[in-house]
Amino acid sequence: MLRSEVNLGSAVTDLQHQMASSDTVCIVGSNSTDVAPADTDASVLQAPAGLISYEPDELMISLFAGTSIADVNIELQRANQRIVVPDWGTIGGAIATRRNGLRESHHLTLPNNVLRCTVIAADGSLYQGGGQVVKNVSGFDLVKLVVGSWGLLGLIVEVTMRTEPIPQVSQWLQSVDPTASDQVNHLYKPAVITHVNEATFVLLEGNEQDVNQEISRLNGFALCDMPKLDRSLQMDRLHHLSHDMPHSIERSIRKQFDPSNKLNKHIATQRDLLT
Amino acid sequence: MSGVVHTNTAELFLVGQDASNMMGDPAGVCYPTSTAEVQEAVRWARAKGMTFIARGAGTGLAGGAIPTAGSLVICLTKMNQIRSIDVARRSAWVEPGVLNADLSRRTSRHGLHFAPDPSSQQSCTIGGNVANNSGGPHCLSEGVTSAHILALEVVLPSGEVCILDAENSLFDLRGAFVGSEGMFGIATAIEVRLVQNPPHVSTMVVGFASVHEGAMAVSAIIAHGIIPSALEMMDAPITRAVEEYVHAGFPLDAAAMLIVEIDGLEHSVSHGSLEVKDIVHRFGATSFRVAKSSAERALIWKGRKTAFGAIARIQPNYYLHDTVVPRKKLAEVLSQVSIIAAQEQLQVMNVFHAGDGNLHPILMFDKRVDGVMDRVHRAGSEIVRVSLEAGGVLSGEHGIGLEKRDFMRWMFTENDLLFQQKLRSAFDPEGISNPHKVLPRGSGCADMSSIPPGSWV
Repeated sequence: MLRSEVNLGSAVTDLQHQMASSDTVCIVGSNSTDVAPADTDASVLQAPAGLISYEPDELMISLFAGTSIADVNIELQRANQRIVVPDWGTIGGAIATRRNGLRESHHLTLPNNVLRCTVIAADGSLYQGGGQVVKNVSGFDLVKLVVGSWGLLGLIVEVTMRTEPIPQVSQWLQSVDPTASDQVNHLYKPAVITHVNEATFVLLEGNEQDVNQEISRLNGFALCDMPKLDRSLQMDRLHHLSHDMPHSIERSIRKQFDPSNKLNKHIATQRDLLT
Repeated sequence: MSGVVHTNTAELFLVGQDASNMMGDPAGVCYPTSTAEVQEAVRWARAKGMTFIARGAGTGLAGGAIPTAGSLVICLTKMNQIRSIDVARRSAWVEPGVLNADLSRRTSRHGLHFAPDPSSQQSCTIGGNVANNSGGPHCLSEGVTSAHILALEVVLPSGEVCILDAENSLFDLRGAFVGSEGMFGIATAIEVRLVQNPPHVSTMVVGFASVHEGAMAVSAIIAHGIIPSALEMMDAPITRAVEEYVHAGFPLDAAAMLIVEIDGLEHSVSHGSLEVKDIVHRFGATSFRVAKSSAERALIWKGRKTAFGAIARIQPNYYLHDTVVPRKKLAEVLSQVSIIAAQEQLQVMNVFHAGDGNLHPILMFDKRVDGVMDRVHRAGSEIVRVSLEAGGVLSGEHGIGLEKRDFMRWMFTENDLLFQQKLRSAFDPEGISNPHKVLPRGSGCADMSSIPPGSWV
């Protein structure tokens, strides 16, 4: 069971001091994502771990960002809930790298499930975006900006996530006939469709009878386990951007948020985002 | 360009207003028909040292489309083409002036629709939905506008055109732009996600003897693990007002009614409906009806979505509020709202997205009565205060605009606001795109300005 850590305020304050007093900072989670090596003289900062609050009836959980996703899901399973994030690394790491898993085709992907986050900025100050409700258009959306920002806009220390009920059944299927792939387009809102080499994989979730009925409509597919995928295939956007040049707005944002180029220099260099 | 900027009094009067109670001071208005013309308008305004504001249908309720500082109004209603529909990918490129309901009508033959469905969907534009990150009843299961925008073509305040999408930047610039209330630039083309029409739908109308029981049932449905496609509440005064002219068969003896809609595959809909029926009866439902036909369902939704029109039967003016509270606090905050209205001697009705905890108290009044606006505004800020005290937020779908900018400090620290301003500055360093909105006055982060006549915060 996850320990409730409501008294980690001092750990956050310590991190703020370290951030303010360091010239170069490398932000890490559990090092589950491969990136270029950080500068050896960088201060390494890591968010604390622990549960802040969990309200199953509100479908909402608040955590320190260093909490491991595996631990979060164990906690959530007790209330028959889950967060839809691949089950490795820390929650802060998943948010910073926008590690969505395969659910690109699903409307409620990771960015839409982060309701609030608190960030230590490059100058050591705290800023917060979002709120502890499921719907919110109060002010500019710093949450969307921080999700997938690779530590270039600060260290995420606290997050509130939307949780969801675990569906009655989840079943993966794999195409065994290459001409069968198109059939997945006629399914009603499958949770995942993904293509690996020649095969099409589909994840059906929901009511057991519905899932069985959908399966019976698929010819040339066989039940299978969750496909084993190279982790780097799962939304490692840093390596999959179509342009080498950064967007002009990205540089402006970096300049506003980290004027002294302190944060995750190794990643900023890779994306040519030093200003 | 100056040849197509209109400055006649009648047109400026029209574009000086939106669906809020405020009036702006536009210096001119133009109606571009292409991205290039929007770019030209922005450059023209820049060259004249003017600010500018993009405008859709003007249905916004928070004053986001009220021109300030003698802005040039760039009205996008003539950019109303659906450029392409990609049925296989379930997406479409549309221009900002396309009406929300038209997009779903035009894609229905492919079995698809655009999920966000604000009550104003017959007249509001997709561009306006992007600016406000609009919601609607069916955003409970589908998510709000941001979840349905794949990419944007944007004219930046600098006059440059760029694409914001998932492939060309590390930061989610698309996500940052949606909901920026026209202050980051002007979207001139929008790639939307289209959602499959559900094969089965069950729409239930449930009456309760008290608002409290209705609100408890809402929490219980969600807590049970059911995510309806929509979960709406109407209190007795608005139900009566609507029923008198829509005749949707709403329960007139109930103190509150819920519209619960479940959609999806056959069994999840039938099981979900049975579970809902069971839960609402446990919470004291006094009536329960399931729509038997799509015509009956359409009538129920007509009743819900034209509720604001029904208000004219009671009072000539209304002020529609928009805050969000945790679902478990719904009953408590609703009772505080009715106390606040009583204290200010105002009639109040509630019709809102209960499943999201998104309240919409409607204060009704006759603005010809002396001093009534002061009471309306006092009640409004009290409603905001009690919502925040309950752990809620300023706005769920209408935005901040001019209406709530000075409440931003009630929810955010100065540093939070500073970082919001930094984001704004990255897109618009000079603060010329829809100035003076969202960020509060009097801090380092607000655009300097006078208050437009009619604004009250």
